[in-house]
Amino acid sequence: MTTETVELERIPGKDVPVEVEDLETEEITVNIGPQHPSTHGVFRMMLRLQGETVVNLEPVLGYLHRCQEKLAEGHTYLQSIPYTDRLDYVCSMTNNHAYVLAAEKLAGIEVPRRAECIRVIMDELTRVMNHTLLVGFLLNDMGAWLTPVQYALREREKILDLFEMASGSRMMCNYMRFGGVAHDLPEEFLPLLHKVLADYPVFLDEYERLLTTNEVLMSRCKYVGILPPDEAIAYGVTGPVLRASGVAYDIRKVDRYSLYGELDFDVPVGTVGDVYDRYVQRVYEARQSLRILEQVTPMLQETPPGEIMGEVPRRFKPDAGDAYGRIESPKGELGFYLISDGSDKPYRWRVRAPSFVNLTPLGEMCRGHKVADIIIIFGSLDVTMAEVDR
Amino acid sequence: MTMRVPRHDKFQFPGLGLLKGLSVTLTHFFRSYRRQRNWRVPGEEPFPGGIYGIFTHQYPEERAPIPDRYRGLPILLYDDATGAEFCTACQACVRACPVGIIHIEQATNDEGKRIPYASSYTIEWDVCINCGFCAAACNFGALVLDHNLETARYDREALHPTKKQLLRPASYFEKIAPTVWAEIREDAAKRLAGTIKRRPDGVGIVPKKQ
Repeated sequence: MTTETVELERIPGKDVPVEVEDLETEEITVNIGPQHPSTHGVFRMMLRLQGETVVNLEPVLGYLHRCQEKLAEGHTYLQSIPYTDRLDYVCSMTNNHAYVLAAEKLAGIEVPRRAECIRVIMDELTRVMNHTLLVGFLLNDMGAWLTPVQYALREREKILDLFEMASGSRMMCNYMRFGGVAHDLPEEFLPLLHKVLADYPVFLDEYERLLTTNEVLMSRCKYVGILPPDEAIAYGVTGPVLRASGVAYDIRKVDRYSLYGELDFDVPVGTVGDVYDRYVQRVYEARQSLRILEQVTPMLQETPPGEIMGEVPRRFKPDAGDAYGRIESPKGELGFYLISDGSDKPYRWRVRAPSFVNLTPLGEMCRGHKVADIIIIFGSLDVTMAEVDR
Repeated sequence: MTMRVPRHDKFQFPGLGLLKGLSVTLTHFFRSYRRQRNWRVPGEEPFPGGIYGIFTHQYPEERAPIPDRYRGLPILLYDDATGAEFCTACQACVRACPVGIIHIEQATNDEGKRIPYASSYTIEWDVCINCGFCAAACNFGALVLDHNLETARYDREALHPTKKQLLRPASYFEKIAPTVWAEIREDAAKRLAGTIKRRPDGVGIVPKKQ
């Protein structure tokens, strides 16, 4: 495991205790949520406030619990794929991929190259889409009502159209199967994908012109919600949040699953680990994903069409044992741990959800900041509550 | 390999970033007068004009074409010429359904022997998660996924259709999803090759008059 830690600038003011205003007031408890538009789902934050400053934040989870892990124990392996779509409903393709990868590990199935190419294309499109959407909603949280998120939704629409064409559904894709993917790509998919790839860098440039050097955004984001790398590692944070803190840890580079060993891409890392770094890091990661997509499409064209399924038994019944499959989902390390007892239903179906783990340092990051900053710190973590509670 | 993202810490003339952002929104304001629609409007170029122009369309008047692969609510098919249903009540869809919303009763003939015909067939459309496993499991091309998006009903009972309400002619599906229908036919013919040889009067997608 190669993890390089970039040395962090020491930020004056981070280590000082909570600044208390001259006029000391009584501490009060305030609840944000569970029904609150900026909590991206149903999530409750119990705040202890000293004036406007946060003294303590306690996240309260479980309002969206749907018992998915237990449900999966009553279903066959295949029947659980549509349920993975509903974990993190923004990136259903990567959820499919992680689950399918774990099951393939469990049963020892090989995947044809064309299917791997399609999977990588879908994963990276999901990543691009998720990061654009996140930046839009982050700006929404910050008070830039609707304009950035509308631009983001417009670009996402094109990618959703591609998903609908390939899989039949826009959000609940249910596209991947053990040993491959459900259908081959339709003929009109690749020309449209090229069109998206040609337009997207233009859009990202424009998006950056709109936001990155904006004074309001910079003053709201810089040095807010700092997560130092040692703390990030201690909390088990993964994905863009960890990389924004300066730790170059990417499972695509570490595990080299699927085709990622052959692909050439960079891992963007942040310097300080604040909200601003998390924002810029995501825009740069989206650019790297576009780079990957440009490399994968020629690979896909080289493979013979139609070869999308490996050798899979008609009745999927893996031998007793366990397997853990993980991928770099747009939110972090998404892993599935499956235990088989030799029947056609899993004995245990466990999800290692990145949103849940990334949410744990929230209290630490918010301490000492103002109430308005909590919303953007929470927004910058990129949390989908459906995945947190499962 | 590892790449540091910029912090934009350099001095910038106050208000310049704001103006740069406003120039973007202003460009979009003027460009929105160019009527450019997205690829989903029939007869128009895919994603015209890149990222500029109007992207939405007026829903009830302008309808986006639905891709062939679209997964809507499940329906049953019958043969146009003979009126025979393709469904043989084999229960494959019932076993494949993750949410367990398909209910089939197999018919019996006068002697009380089971025949390949569903006497009642119900799907609880309100619980359907549109996963498409039922259509994938069907060996006879009898169960397919509709392209109808307007599924709102006034009462709940209307979302529990009976067999009569589920049945559509095969030509209807062939019209809305030609490539998928061709795939289903080919697939069914391959899978049922042996059965068709044994029972030339037909089974499933090769229909038999009841």
